[in-house]
Amino acid sequence: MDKSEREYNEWLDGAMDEKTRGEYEAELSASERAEVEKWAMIRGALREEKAPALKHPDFLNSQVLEEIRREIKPERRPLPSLRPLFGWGLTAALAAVVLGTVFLRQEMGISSEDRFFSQVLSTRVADPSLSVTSFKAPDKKGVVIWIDGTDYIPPTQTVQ
Amino acid sequence: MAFDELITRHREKMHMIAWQIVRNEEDALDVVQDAFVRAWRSLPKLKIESTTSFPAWMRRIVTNAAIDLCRRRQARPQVEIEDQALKIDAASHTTPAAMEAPGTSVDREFLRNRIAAAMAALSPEHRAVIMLKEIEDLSYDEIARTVGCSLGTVMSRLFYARKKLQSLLDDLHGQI
Repeated sequence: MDKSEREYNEWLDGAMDEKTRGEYEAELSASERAEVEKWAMIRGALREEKAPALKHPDFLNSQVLEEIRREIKPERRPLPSLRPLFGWGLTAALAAVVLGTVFLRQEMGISSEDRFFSQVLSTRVADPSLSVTSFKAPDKKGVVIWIDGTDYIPPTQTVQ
Repeated sequence: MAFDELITRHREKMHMIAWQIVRNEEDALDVVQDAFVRAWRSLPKLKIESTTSFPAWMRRIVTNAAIDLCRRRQARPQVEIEDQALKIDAASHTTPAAMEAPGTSVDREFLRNRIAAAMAALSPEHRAVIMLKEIEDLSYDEIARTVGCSLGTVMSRLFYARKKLQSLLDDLHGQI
């Protein structure tokens, strides 16, 4: 902060103590000392100066409140386009179907017994007499097939 | 609405502050309107700054809004004074015997016009510090908080604004 600017302001504003003011004024010329009086006159005139009164004060209130109401009122957002929404929905549904199928197939599993049974059927004779019985024990699972009329039983399955 | 009451309570004062800086009635009205809306938006902030009173806070908003407006216009404010006040030759402003004595309403009016013209010649920043010091009677610290600058800047602005006003009104000394 410039010392001379601060001192000048404090001097004009009467914010200096007696001693400091005496020392400060001792360094001023007569015309500079007269600035206190000049400024007192300007200050008086400034304080007398009046702003024109508000012509329509209530109009100011209504304008401000109207502006505030406009800001409070939520903005209406346009509805998002349905096309991307539909596309994403379709993609999600397809993904769900694919995942579900994979999951189910894994759950059901295609056991070697099924494959064997397919092989048996594919080699069936024209008029086979076939019966299938399955049993389930706590520690194992098996299928017993009685076949009458088949020409072929895969050797890997005959012992099971 | 409680805010309506706040506007009513402070509108005249804020209009006066705005006018002192923009020196134009319509602009002052715009500034005050804008300042109240800004104040409404920032009300939660005021509640946090519990040390600041509403009038002081509003004064800060109005002062800065008025300075902003003047800057945006980048032109001196439209002065609502008689053109004559700017052109008058001070040396010719003697007081003939037939005229009213010094200190009468004519002289006061003349002085007011000269002061208004001189104030209009200042930059908005300088007008703001003069107004805050001489009319609002704020301390240097309060002025610094109001205009959002350092104490040194306030001192400097005040110094140059006062010097300029004095030089513009130099011819008046001793006449009134």
